[in-house]
Amino acid sequence: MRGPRRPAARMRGGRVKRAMFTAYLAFTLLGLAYLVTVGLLRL
Amino acid sequence: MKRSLRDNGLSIVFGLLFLATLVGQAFAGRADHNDRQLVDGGRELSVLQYVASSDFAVDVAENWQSEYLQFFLYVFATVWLVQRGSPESKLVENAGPESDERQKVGRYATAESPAWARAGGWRTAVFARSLGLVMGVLFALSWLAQSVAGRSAYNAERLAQLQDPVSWAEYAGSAEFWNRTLQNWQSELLAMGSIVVLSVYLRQRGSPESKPVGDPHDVTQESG
Repeated sequence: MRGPRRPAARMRGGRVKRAMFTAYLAFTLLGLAYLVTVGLLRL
Repeated sequence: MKRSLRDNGLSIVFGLLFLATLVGQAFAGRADHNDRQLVDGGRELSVLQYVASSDFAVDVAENWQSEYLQFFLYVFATVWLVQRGSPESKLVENAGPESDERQKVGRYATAESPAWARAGGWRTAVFARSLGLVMGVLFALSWLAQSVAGRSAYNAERLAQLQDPVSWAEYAGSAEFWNRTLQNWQSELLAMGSIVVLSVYLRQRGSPESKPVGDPHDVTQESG
């Protein structure tokens, strides 16, 4: 059974929170790809 | 806007401090690198050249891997291991993955539970371990990055001394690689043990890492 929708709770800081989650994960993964690439290119 | 900033203060402030210290590391690392080149008669690098060098990459990666190892171990170890009196620990009787009811999964999920907590099967199994898994994957990738970049930096040094370069496998078994690795691990493990045990007897008013100031030393605060 579906519970009641609570838009106010969902909106609370939701966009920034999701943006921070994505930014941290993306920066870390891209950073790791960069570090491996630098190592592989033997710079 | 103001409210969004307040609601996300921890991630924003730590993110900005991280970027600032990474830039600081680039400048300090480049200066240190160039000082050594003066002594060894090697080529000096600009900041951008240094940031694209394997010397910078290995220094970044070796610190990242140990931090992600710390959280990977911490997230998994605290499922099973407890420390009576520590706010970092569960109650002694709750050691283990706990019941579905307590964890609000499957049929015990609430209307506000994430969809994958309710889904059951492999989705709930993965979601129920996702924090530790992601930390573990980031640790493994960072350690791999350390080994790849470290080998490159190590070989550059060896070539400058007219020594043969080593393969990745040889580097992964080398004293240089393990010295870099273990010096980071030991500090993380000491810090982890310290927060667990010091928080039994010490307090930080207002911090979720601490028990309330007036709680007795033998109270283990339930969390997670």
